[in-house]
Amino acid sequence: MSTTRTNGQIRLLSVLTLVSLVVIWEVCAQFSPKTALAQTAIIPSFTDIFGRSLLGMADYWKFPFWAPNTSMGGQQTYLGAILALGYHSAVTISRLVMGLAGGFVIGVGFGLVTSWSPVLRQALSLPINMFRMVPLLAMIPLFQFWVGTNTQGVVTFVIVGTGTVFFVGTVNAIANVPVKYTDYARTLGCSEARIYMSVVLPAIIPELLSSISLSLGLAWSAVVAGEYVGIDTGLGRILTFAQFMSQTGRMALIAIVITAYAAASYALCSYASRKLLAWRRPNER
Amino acid sequence: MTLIKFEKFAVEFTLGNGRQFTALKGLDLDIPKGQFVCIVGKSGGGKSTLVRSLAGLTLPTGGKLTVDGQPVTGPSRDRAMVFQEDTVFPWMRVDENVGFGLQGLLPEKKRERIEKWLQAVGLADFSKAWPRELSGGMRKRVALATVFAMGSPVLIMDEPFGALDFVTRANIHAILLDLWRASGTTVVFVTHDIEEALVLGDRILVVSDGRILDDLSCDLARPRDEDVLGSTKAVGLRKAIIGHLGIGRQPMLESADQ
Repeated sequence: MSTTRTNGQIRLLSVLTLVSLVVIWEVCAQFSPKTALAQTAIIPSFTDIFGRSLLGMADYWKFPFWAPNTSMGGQQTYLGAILALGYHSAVTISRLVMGLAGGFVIGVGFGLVTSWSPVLRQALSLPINMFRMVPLLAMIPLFQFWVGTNTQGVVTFVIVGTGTVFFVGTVNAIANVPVKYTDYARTLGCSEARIYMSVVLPAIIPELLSSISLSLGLAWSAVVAGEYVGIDTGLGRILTFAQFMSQTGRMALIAIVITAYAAASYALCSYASRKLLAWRRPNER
Repeated sequence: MTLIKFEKFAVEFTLGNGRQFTALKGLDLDIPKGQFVCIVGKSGGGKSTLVRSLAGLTLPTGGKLTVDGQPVTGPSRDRAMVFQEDTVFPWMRVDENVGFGLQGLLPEKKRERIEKWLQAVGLADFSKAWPRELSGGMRKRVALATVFAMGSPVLIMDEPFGALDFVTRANIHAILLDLWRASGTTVVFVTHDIEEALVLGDRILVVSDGRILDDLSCDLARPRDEDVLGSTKAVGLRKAIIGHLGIGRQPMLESADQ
């Protein structure tokens, strides 16, 4: 009983903190200075964000059907705004999923192969650790030259960013598998291939899930940053346009939308983690 | 009939500081089929190296080791091992753990075999449990079921019950002895506990400093209850082992110097 009350109190405290932050933001918005270009508040109010700025999303609906197209003289409508947000969200999320999946397959696959071969592991240790130190966002211009300012460029950028995290996570996770399990499997007559499949792979899942969680944050940053520089669709591109026009309300709205998606993806990851790690104690999942 | 044969068997390790450490010094030992051999001795005396070598997990630097006439060159399903640590795979349910060593069997046969051995160790009702839901003693029983299900002619046990309480250990001893008698397996059992060796073994080897100091026949009547373990013969064996281990004779400083 007392635990339930304590949990409830903690939840209430969290909600109160969030509400307080919203109130502080709104108060600051009322006294906020204006931008030089468009005379918009540097700190936009929530009325602006979920009113004018949300309606303004209709400007990014570029198709001549379902809702008026403002670039063809149509009116801004909430339907257009929702369709535009949905379309650009779908584009961004598809790039994120493709990049994350590619990074997972390449990073984990390469990590498994590298861990299998001590020679390969030693040969790659220094270059990979050096590569990890390279600031990812500073690589965007180079990727634009290499792959182009298009979806492939953004996806490749996410693959490289998350793939490195997955690779390092996999190699470390394999190195941390207790020898007692592999020794035990050997005495049960297991081949090296079966030990890898039935012992090493399940044993590294907890650490791999941590890598996925880490990569998710990185993937969101990478995909938005990739879209921010040059590409003509996606939430990152809306941010760029909004910045050009000093539309702080639209920028805040996109930030809130991305935060909501990121939170949802973390929740999904956490759900998958609970399912995949059913064999662990609840507090260890 | 000799099943396991060590001849001038030696194992050396290179320590982190580059120095050589000899764990086993030219050991000679014959173990007949079906015998329950207990190995006792102080920590660092070579007991675990001996059984890890038998399991094929540690390779010799000298001499020869054969099982059923075949040289040991690595781990094999003919020499199953129960470890000191908890090695039951936590990501597999109890029945999957027991079936792990049963590769190549038809699913029906495999299921039958799993059920039979879970029944034998008293865990039939826990076949779908996760290892985390079991006590330490129950997980050891899962390990026992796993190795006996494989039907290996040699079972190696490296201080498997060291972490269990007295009652749990006594229960699991009874289960182990039942399974051993029924299967005819040759068991090589390492323990630091003299009482455990007296309860289980047909033969007790005292190992210290990489050598076998004594090879004692332990032909006490079974089951070995308090009366048997309090008999003159048992007391004599206990005294002989304690004498070899040098309890109360070696000053701490002398031991530290070595």
